[in-house]
Amino acid sequence: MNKPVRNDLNLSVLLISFCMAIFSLNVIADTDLSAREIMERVDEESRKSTDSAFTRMKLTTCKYGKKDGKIKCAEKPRVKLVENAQINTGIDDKDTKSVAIILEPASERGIGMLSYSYDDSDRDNETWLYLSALGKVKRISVRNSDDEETESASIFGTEMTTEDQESGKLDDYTYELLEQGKFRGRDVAVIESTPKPHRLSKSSYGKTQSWIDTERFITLKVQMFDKRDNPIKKLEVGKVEKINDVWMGRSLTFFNTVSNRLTNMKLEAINFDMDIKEEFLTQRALTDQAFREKYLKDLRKQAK
Amino acid sequence: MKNLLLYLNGYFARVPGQLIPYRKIVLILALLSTIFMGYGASRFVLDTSFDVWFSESDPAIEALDDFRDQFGSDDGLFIVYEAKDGDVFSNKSLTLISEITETLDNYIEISDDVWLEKYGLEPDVVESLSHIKRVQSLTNIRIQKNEDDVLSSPRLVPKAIPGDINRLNEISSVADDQPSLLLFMFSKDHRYGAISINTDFGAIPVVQEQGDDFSLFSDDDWSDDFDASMDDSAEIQKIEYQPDEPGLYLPFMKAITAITEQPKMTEHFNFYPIGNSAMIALAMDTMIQAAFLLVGMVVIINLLLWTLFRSASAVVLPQLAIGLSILFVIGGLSWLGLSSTTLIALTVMLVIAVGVADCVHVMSSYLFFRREGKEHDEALSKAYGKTGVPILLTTITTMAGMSSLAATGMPMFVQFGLSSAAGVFFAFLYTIYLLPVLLNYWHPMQNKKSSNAEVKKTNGIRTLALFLKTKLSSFFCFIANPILSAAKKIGLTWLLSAEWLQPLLDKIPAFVERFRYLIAIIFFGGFVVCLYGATQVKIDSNLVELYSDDVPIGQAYDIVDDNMMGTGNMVIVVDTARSDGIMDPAVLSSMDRLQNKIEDSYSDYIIRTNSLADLVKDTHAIMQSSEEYRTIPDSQIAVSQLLYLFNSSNPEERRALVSDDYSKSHISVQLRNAGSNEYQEFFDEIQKDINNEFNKLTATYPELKVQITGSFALMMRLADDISKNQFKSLAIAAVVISLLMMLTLGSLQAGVMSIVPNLIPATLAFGLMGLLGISLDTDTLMIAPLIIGIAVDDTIHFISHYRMSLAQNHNMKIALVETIKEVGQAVTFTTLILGCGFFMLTFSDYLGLAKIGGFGSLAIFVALLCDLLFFPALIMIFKPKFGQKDVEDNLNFIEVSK
Repeated sequence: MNKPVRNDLNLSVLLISFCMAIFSLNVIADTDLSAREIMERVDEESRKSTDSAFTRMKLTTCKYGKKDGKIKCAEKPRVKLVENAQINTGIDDKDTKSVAIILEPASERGIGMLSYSYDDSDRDNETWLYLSALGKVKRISVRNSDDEETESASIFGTEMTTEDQESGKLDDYTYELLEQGKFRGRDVAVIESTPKPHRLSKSSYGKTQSWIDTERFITLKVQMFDKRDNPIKKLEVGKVEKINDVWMGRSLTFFNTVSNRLTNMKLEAINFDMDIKEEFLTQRALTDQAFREKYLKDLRKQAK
Repeated sequence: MKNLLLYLNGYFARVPGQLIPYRKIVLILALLSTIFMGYGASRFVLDTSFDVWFSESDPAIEALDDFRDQFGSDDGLFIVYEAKDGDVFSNKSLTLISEITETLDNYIEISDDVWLEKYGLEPDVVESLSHIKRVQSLTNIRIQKNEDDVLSSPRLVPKAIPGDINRLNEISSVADDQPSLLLFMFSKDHRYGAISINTDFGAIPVVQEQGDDFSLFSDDDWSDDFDASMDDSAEIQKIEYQPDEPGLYLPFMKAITAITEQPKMTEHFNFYPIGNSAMIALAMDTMIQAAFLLVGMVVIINLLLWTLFRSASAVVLPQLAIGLSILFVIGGLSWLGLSSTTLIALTVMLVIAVGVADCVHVMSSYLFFRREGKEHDEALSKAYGKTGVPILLTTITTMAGMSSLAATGMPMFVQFGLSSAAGVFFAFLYTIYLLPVLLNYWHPMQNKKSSNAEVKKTNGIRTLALFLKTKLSSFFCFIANPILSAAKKIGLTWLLSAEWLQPLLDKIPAFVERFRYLIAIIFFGGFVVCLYGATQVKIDSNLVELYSDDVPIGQAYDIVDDNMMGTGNMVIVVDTARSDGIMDPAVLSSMDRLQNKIEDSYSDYIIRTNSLADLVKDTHAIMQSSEEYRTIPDSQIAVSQLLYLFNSSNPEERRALVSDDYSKSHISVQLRNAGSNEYQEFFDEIQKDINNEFNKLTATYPELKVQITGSFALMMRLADDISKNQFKSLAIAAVVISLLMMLTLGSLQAGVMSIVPNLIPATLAFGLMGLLGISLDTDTLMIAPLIIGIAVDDTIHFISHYRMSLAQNHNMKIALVETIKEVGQAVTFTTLILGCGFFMLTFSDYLGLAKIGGFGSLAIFVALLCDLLFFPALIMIFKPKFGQKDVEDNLNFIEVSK
């Protein structure tokens, strides 16, 4: 079917919350917590949304194979470089404004997305898309009421999906602590999350297992299963570092173990509490290249 | 040759006498080998997957596998529904369709109890719905809107279905403006709608089992320093797919049907499911019906055996022959570690026919001699002396016929041909070496006082006749025509008294002599006409035409072809063999032009086409907010950006249209149903168009490959291939059998004379098909060698018996009378038994089977007429001596009978 326009275009917001959900598992010190309690604490932390973030990430996607026991790209990887800036605004800072600009590949350079999402469910979220080759801006309307039934969508056409980053909705799952032990030299708890029936029908997974470092409280690995209990995807977290007093992995790799494709997401830069002006997060940032570059240069300077 | 045949005669005559002293050893050996084969048969594996039809290295299969690797399963279910209120956009239609869509989409949320109570489905059947990848219907499909520089994709029909007629009219007129929805989701007149269900059938990957030593903490191949650099030599794990088995489709269709066939749904809609799942469910129903018909066939065979021989041993012993031969075939296959295919059913049919024929010939001959007053031992020896050689000959010719199937080179036919040949051989072994021993213990005409036997006989016949009547009447419930059934009943009651046979056979020589030229002309004329007819046979397999008109699938296909997207589909794969090749405007433009060209040229077949080029054009028009821009942009960067949104959406959907590296894409073509023969030409024509269009690009893309694939296209090509191959093997079988006849009959003259009566039954079947315009499909062809084999068997018995008699008596008259009296009886018996048995199959809804039954029984009956009328007429006219000297050739029967 010809459906180029989908209802999942809040990409920049997704990207940021993506990082949050994966990395903010890092504040639980008490390993005696039950699986559900661990996940509750994880969720709480992920909700402490960090204001004014700037990220630059490199997304590498390829078909993979093994060479000398190591995972390697078996074809020329497709690389996307994306910069993203986001602030929280509105009453109680519950609304979000963000802009995402593609730097690479050359054929997509300059494609931009501007997203405003509103806490008020009566107000539709707004996304503007700019295609540099055509010099056109289009607003993409996504009704809030439709959101709940959106299918899980890929992020930038990679192996990562919007479902992989979803946080919250703890009541939608049941949790079980499978085992505790040593994994890659760390103390780890393996927690299995199973969606409840109403959630399951919307999910592409029948269950997931997460390996959580019980000292640093960071996810090291996630294994996803389909509804017939077959392993289909996994996430490996690498390059764990402490940034802004927060432990996080700067390299995330998603493996689609069925199609033998992987996407590696490298956080080349991630910075919170940046000075991002609201006037930057307007349509001008999409169409006016000079304007955009001026602001981005400034942000790049602030970022590590 | 003559000496060899005489020697064999003597040998077979001696076999019973030599075996009797060792009967216990023979029985023990038989028992032991039966146990051995029975044990093997307990490990019998029936492989019902479709892959067995193809050789693994078949390039077409590789192409389809590649296609599935790249684009996923093309095997879905398309449920077309007809709204009885005439409007799929009415509130009621939409509400009910919404309910079905929601149920399919959210089947997991429905509890096991609800499934059981509301739909009568067990959890394991419901589980099969997990093969659903996506459900699309009018009630959940989204449309693309572009107003005032705002893009949106709202639902066509709001979740809360409006009751207001104006609002509903508005929706239906919006729908009419969506070219992509028309014919896909609803028909032009809004009378028909569709639910499209995408499944993973055919592309279910085999997931590696976790070993026993699996531990959550054993680390795998991950290393922290992954750098995403490319390594050409990295080994990619090949994706393997689960075999496509009916077992996957059946519960799935059961669950779907339970949902659509609720009373409130059927009150408002007629449903017409289309697609592999529906076809396979139907095929399974047909198989169950066929099993009943086979049981009917066996019952008829038993009844006739009992009536004709009036002995329980005559019923039990042939069945033992059938049972043991089949057991040995299955046991043998299992011991060899080979799994059987569904063709084993045909092997069973062949073994039934051959096993019955072998035993009936021996027992009929035995009875003949007993009635002449011979004692058991002498009668048995004489019977084997008479029938041994013909049985050996028919065994050889049938085995040769079946083995000729191996010439097709298709693995499953090779196995089918060879295992059938083995089955025929086992039946031979049984008849020659075990049957005499068993007959020694239990045989027809045990020594009793004849008067008692007479009384019992008539009583027995009466009760049996009554029994048969009730049995038959229940059988004929199948048949629409009650007059026919009454006639049949009367006919069979008359047949039961078998007393008519010998007097009738006595009259034959005189009758034939009087009309010998007329008979010869009629048969030969018929042969020539049929030979011409056979040249007119169209070899064609049409899925729908394989079913009788009262099976709904035919209507469904017509409706979908006439009102919706069509029932067939194929894909044209475009492989540029270069990254981003598909984004090249030149490639997209070629795809676009090809689509326009074939849509215009083949509008009889093609309903519509779709490809990435359409998507690019649509997006271009939308982004530029003008219909003028419904074109492929000139620059590759513009194409790439237009595809950006699509790239960024669901990768599965994108992957279904274009490969990850944008080197491969495909044009999907929706087709109307037609026969394989027609399609094959159509595919050839399209390939020419493809070459014309894409040859321009070969300078830029030297490795460019554009070809037709898709499971439908492949099935069509396969059907065509099988038909042509089978025809070849059939021709080989005919030649081989004829040569064997010439050789064994020891004279060219006899050989030639025997070929014509032999060929008549076969050419008659094909000739009639050609003359009546019935196309020869895969299934009919498969059974053809079998039919020919059976029909030829009786003729071989007849001719070889005549020749032996001539060699012994040097008198044509005696030889002919003897042959007609002795073999005539056995041949009539086998013809009645097998002819009626096969006739049962004509009641199948599956025309593949019905044709086998109809033409099979026709061939068998015509073979009988050839033996009793045509062959004697030929002898009377040409007086062949079959290589014998000093033959008395006075064949004056009329005077004698006067």
